[in-house]
Amino acid sequence: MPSALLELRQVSKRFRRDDEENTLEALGEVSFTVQKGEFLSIIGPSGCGKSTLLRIIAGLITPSTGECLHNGQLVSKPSLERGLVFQDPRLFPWLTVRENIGLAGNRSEELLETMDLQGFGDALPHDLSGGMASRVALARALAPRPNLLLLDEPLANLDQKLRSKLQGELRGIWKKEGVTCILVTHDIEEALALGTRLLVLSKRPGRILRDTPLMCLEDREALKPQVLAWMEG
Amino acid sequence: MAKAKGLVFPLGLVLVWVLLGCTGTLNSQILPSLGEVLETFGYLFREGLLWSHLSSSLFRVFAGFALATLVGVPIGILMGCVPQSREWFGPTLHFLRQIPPTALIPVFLLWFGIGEAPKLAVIFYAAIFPIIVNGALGVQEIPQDYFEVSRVLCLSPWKTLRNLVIPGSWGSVFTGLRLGMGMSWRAIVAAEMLASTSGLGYLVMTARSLARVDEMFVGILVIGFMGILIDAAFITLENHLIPMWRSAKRVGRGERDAKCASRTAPSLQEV
Ligand SMILES: Nc1ncnc2c1ncn2[C@@H]1O[C@H](COP(=O)(O)OP(=O)(O)O)[C@@H](O)[C@H]1O
Ligand SMILES: [Mg+2]
Repeated sequence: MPSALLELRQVSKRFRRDDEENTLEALGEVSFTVQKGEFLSIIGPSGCGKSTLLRIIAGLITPSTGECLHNGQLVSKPSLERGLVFQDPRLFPWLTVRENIGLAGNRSEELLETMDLQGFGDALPHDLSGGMASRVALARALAPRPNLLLLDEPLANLDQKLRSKLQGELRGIWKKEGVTCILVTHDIEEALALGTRLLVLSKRPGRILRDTPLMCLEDREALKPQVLAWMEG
Repeated sequence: MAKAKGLVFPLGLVLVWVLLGCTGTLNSQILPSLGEVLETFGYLFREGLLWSHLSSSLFRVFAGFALATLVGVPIGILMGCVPQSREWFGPTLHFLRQIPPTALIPVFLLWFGIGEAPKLAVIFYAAIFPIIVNGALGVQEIPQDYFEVSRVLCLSPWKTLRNLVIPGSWGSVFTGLRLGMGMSWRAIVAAEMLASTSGLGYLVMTARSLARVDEMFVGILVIGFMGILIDAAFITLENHLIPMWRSAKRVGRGERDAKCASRTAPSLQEV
């Protein structure tokens, strides 16, 4: 039986509140699988636990219940097989672009080219525009050749024009690198434009409301009002 | 402009000093005139006495300070990285730094004899606390987000140290070194006053016992100016060594110094 690349079984997360005894349920129980080669978009309202979900998959935090399997192995700590792109670029300000990309992996030159960053290898992060910084963050995550790339609203801080440009590039990289992607976002357009499949999460604590494949372009357009309705209900 | 303002008061004092000297009312056994002091300065300088005292003070300070740097920076960085170590050793450190280094001179004399060792011990003691405290604070001030990046990229402890901890805390470490140097300079003079046959502190002390008030003032003024010079050298070095990304969001000198000052007195938990 061909097993899934990623499998989540009843994963949930509660955070302890530091002031009181009671806890905050950040993520409800979610179960889903991701096959190799998919581009899974996960959409949900702000605060529903999207970042928490990705951090669990990345191995940065452990779930309160359930388990997460990557290539059949229990995720318990970060691994170079999984790349995570944070919402903000988080580049080390004292390292050059090339050094940032090369922190874990030795293909900075190749990625500088892929990301259209030629000539910026020796620049420091504070000299970069927002779009370039996002591309460097993406390159840094791709450098160790992960087979699963986790994207936490990586384009949220960019203006509309730049965002659609980078969405195109992201799609290109998904094809070129052959990496399975999970993108979380609260932007419907983005979720529909990028994914081959869409998961809709409820308000906090996030639970899966819908799980639907995204086929042709018209399909995606038609889905928009529906997704809105799902998220409301 | 700001610099000019700072010079008004000392220049005014010098002027008053000169004017008092001109009236002839100064008792040179209490306060010699500026002219007398300058004359003595010239004499001590020409005879090479000043340089020999100054150089032995400087040598001690740099030796003790280098030792404190070698020991203090790694300890500070370690304490910044490992919260457990702050819990275990923070209170001890807090106790030790309450004791002025000069209060320990008798102890060091008892333990290390009267050679160079007790002086080096005093300087070491004076310098090491600001170095440790600022090193630890520097690491703690690195945003947690960056450590998450290091975890996601599975960086080894060594790589994290090299690429994140050291460059991220470097500015604060350097502030600690500068403050530590200031502390050692003050401490060495005190140490030389008690048990020494050379150094600026010795110069001031023997001048007093020989009733050479002019020499006393020469010694005191040289100590002050030397302290300023050393600090200025550190600031220049800092401006050259701290890389561009930092100077980009650099705040005014005044603010920065205020920040440094507050760092010398962190609470227990911060250590
Ligand atoms: N480390 C944490 N400690 C406590 N609460 C947290 C922590 N991380 C996230 N939360 C809370 O969990 C909820 C979900 O957060 P998050 O996963 O960041 O949502 P999203 O990414 O969907 O906006 C939020 O209410 C947030 O305040
Ligand atoms: Mg989020």
